[in-house]
Amino acid sequence: MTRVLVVAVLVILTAPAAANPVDAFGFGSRGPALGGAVTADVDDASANYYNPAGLVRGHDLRLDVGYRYAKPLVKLNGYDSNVDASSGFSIGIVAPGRIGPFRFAFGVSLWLPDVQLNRLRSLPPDQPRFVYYDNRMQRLVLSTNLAIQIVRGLYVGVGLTFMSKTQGNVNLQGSVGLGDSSTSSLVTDIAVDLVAVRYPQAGILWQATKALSIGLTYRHKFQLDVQQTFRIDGSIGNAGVDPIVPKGFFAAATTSTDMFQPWQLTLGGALHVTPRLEVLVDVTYARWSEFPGATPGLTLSADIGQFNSMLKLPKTRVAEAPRFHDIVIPRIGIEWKALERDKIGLMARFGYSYEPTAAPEQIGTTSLADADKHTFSVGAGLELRRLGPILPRPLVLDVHLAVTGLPDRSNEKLVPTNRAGDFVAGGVAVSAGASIGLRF
Amino acid sequence: MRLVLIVLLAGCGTLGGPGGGDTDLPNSGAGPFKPIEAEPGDRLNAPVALEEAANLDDPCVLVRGDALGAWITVTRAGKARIEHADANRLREGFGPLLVDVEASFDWEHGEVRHASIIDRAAASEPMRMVYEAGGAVGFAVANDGIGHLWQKNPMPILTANGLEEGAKLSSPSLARIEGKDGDRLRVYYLANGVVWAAEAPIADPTQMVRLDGNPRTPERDPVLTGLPFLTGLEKVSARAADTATGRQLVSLYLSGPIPNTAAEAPRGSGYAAAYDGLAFEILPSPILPRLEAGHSPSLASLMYGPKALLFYARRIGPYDAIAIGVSP
Repeated sequence: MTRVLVVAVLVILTAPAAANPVDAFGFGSRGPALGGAVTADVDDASANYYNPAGLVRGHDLRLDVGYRYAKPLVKLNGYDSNVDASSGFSIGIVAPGRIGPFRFAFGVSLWLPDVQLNRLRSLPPDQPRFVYYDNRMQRLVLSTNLAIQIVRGLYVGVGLTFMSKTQGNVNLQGSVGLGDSSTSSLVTDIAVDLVAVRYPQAGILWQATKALSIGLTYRHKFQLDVQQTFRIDGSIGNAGVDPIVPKGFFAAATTSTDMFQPWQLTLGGALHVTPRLEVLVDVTYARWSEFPGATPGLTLSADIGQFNSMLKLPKTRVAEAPRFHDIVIPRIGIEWKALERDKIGLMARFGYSYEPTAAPEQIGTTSLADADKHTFSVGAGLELRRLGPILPRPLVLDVHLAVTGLPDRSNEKLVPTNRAGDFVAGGVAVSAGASIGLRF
Repeated sequence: MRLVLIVLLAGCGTLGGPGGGDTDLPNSGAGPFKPIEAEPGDRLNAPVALEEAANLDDPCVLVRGDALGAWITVTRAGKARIEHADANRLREGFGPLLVDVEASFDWEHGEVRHASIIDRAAASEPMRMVYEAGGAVGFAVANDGIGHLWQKNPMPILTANGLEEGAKLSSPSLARIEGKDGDRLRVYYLANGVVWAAEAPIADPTQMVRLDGNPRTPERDPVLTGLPFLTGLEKVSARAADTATGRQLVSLYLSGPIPNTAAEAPRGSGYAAAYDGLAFEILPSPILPRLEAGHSPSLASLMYGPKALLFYARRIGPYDAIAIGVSP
């Protein structure tokens, strides 16, 4: 006698993550070389990220193309966690225009990963992971902005940044023969989509004096909540007779955060100490306290008719609050005109930033590893001028190398039976890149 | 007598990490442990050591770099003694079993079993062993640096007190406990079906003092009375080690029968841990798949690089052999 269970299964797969690759390693090559402290002095395509108001500072149509490779060499308890590298192309356009005295500029920038356009990854709540570097690097990021000049020396810019997420459906439908598996008939259907999501940003740039400029940038919070559901609908009974459980179901639903970026407010200043030496300073406030956590909450429900009284489902599991806190990130950059000739200019750049960890010590069930980040960067910019009638405007070549040190951070668990146990997180992250800027 | 060694070539594939941020993650040794399979399609656990005409049990394994040393209770013709085998590295398997400790004193009643050894902390120190014999706990030291030549204490260091411990002690396990006044030797052992503890200065293991698992009650309490998913405790092994942040964690690996109406209940496994080695927290789930009926094996755990290994006895054919599980 064969029991037949008719099932319909729906599973939605998503990936928990935090923030994006541009936040972690910057955009282009000049910005990262200066520690990211360019909010008050940026006019290339990277202004789409650092300060949209800077797009309208220049007068030329500009195209920037670059490549960046970053590898987190982060360790847990001294063992390399083998976090994936992040690499890809940065492409951006700045298109200024004028309507009478009214100056404006459109800007578009794209971060295009060359290995993984996006990444789908779902982890158990208690599995240790580097929450900062884990999933955030495998993202396609598109930013579009409009900047206008209010008065001479005062610019504002607004725009939207689009990021990608992966969402997939797995459908399983058919019959399962409980007593005789040969009577089972199941059809699987898998569909995965790359879905765009967006958040706004805005910036102000004020050229206070010939030597001093001040910038302010706001990037909005971005959060994507995703529900995963698993549901079986069916009747239980013997084939050919009325089922003992007609139209029963079992369902599991989880709610998790697929991606999170805190809102950020950055105030920056850039001062030409001498005609050849510029000092840039940024301070960013990042509201990580709103981070809802990357671990899912789980709710189980079922209806099996007359057998409901025999069914004991675990209580709804609520994800442990991550208890992240807000952070302030100081950045400093120094740009020095090492060489200035008619046809050539050479810039040397140095930068430093300190990003304190937003994660508390992991004393509970989650093990969201993170540590303070000290980033030291160097770079150079070569400007070639008067290259002939084909390129009458300067050609800019920028390169940078940045090393982020994560001092070891200890996490001691309250409960001694925790499977991960006490752990130490630290390591380094290295990134390097180059870009070419063309003006027309 | 023939010794069969099965090298864990296939099984050690489990030790590799999948990458993508998942490699070599922190691991306290709380499991769950996955039995290493001998070969694809082979449902038996791969034994570390299998000897014909002998039952192997009570593994105690120490690691130095990649090298492993295992001390095992070997029972031939109903008589138990402690033997050892060495491995240069896990993937190469263990060499032949050699006799280490045999019964020689009257109080041992002709058998010794369940060796529990702590390695030397400095080259000038001996290796130390406690073992079970005659319902008491014996003690031995090895000054050869490799634990092959043992010198036994002529008298047991711990005997049942006839009160809360009843008349017999079993399953002794040795741990080195760091203290403000110097390190101490602590012995965890079973008596009357619960886990007790006693300790002595490291320089004089004969000065054992019984410890109270709950000083808030007037009577002496055990440090562990049982696990919620086992009907009793039959074996206990302890491991004391510093966590990654440098504080000491004492782990107890336990086995016993699971609730079952059959005459021979299958056995289960469990884990408890404490930072002070006395107030143990219990992990609410087993650490190994259900074990076969018959007897409860000792579970010996160690960290091998970033992985936790669990050595335990399993029935392979007509005899018990030493198998291995890995976590994660």
